[in-house]
Amino acid sequence: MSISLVNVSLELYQTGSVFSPKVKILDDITMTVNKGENIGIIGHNGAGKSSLLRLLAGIYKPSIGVINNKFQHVSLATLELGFDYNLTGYDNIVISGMLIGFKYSEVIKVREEIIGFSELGKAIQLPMKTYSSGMSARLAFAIAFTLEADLMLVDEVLGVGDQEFKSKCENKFREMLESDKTLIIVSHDHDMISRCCDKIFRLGQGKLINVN
Amino acid sequence: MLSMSILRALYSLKSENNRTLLSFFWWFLAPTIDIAVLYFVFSILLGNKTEGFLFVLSIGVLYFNWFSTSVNNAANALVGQRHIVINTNISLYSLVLSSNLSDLIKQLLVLFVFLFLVAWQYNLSGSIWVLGITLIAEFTFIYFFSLIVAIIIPLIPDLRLILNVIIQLMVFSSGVFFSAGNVPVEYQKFFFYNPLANIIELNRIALIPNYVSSVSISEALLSLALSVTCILFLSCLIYKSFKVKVRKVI
Repeated sequence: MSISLVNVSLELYQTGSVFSPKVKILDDITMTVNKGENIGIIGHNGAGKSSLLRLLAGIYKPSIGVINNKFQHVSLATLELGFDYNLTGYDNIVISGMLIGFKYSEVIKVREEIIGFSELGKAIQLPMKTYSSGMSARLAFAIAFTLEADLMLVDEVLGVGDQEFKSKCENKFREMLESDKTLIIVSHDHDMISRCCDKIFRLGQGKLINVN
Repeated sequence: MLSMSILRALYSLKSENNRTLLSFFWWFLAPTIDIAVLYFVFSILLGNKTEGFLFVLSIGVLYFNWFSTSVNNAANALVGQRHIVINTNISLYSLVLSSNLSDLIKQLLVLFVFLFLVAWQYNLSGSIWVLGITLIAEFTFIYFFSLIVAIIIPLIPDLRLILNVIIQLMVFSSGVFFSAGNVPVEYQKFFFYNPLANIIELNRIALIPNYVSSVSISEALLSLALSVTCILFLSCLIYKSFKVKVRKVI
C-alpha cells in the first residue's frame, strides 16, 4: 500500500468567489508514502501544509498532476469536526466520528474507549456548551486518535488539555508511530518531527523539499 | 451516505430543540402563526369570504413554507459548514440532503396534524393518493433546487441576496393566498410551469371537497413531472460541473 503524488499542483481561489484570481498553493509536488512510514512536513504559516494534507485525503482534487492512492481508509485527524455544542459529548462522538470517515457501527464500537480516553466521565452526557475548552479539546483528541485509519493525516493537533492529558496524548501518538499505521504529520515542532519521523519534507513557496 | 444524512438530520433537530424553551412545539406554532396572520389579513381585513378559505390558505402556506425554509437552510449548508467541507471527504450532496431531511421530518409531522384537522372537517375524497405523490414530488423538487442553490452560492455569494427575491417572487406566483382559478386564463399556462403552483393546487383538489380548479389532476401531475425532471437534470449538471470548484472557493 502506498500513496503517491506525481507532479501535483494545486490552485485555490483567492477570495470567496469563482471569479476571483487563483493562487498557486502547491507547485509540482512529487512524493511517495509507503505503508508503515511516518512522514513529517514542516514549513512556515501559509506554506500549504494543510492544503497538502487535504490533497492526500482526497478533499481537494489537484489542478495538475495525478494522485495514486492505494490506502483503503485515509483519515484527516481534525479536532472538533462537526461539533454541535447544543448536543452532548456522547452525541458528538457519533457525529464527529462519522464525519472523519467511519461507519456508524465502527464509531459505536469504540465509543466507550473514546469516553475513557477523554476522561470526561459523567460529563459526557451533558451538552458540550457546558464544557470548558480543555474538556472539548480532550474529547476532540480522543475521537480523532481512537478512530484509526490505514493512513492518518495529522495537522498540528498534538498535545491538548492540561499537562497530564498532554503526556497521555503524546503516549497515544507514540503508540501510533510504533504501529504499522502510516502517518503524515504536519507541525511547526521541528524537534518532535525529527524525533518521530522516518522522512522529513519542508514546504516552501509551494515546493516540497526533502530535508533528510 | 444516506445513513449519515439521516443521522445528522436527527441530531440537528435535537440540537435545534435544545436551543428553545418550547422545543419542538415551534414546529407547529410557527406555521400556525403564519396562517393566522395571513388569514387575518386576507379574510378579515380584505374581506375574502371564499368558502373553505382557511384550508385553501393553510395548504398554500404549509407547502410553500416547507419549500422556502428548506431552500434557505440549504443555502447555508455548505457555506455554513465550511469546516466540514474543507476537512472531510463527505459528498456535498449529502450535506444538502441532511439539511433537507430535517425540514422534511418537521413538515411530515405538521402535515400529519393538518391532515387530521382536514379529515375532522371534511370527508376525505378518493383523490387522497395525490398527497403521497405531491409529497415525494415536492421533496424531490426541494432537494434538487437546494442542491443548485447550495453549490452556486459559494461560487457567487451575491446570489444569496437574489435568492431572497426569487423566494419572494415564488410566494406570489405559486398561489399561496389564492386559487389557480383566480389567475387570468391567458396566464394559466405559465402559472402551472411552476411546480409549487401544481403541488399546492393538487393538494387543494385532493383535500377540499367541491374545490373548483382550473386544472385537472392528470394535467397538473404531468406538468409537475416535467418541471421536476427539468430541475433534476439541471442540478445534476451544475453539481457535476462545480463540485470540485466549490471546495476550492469555500
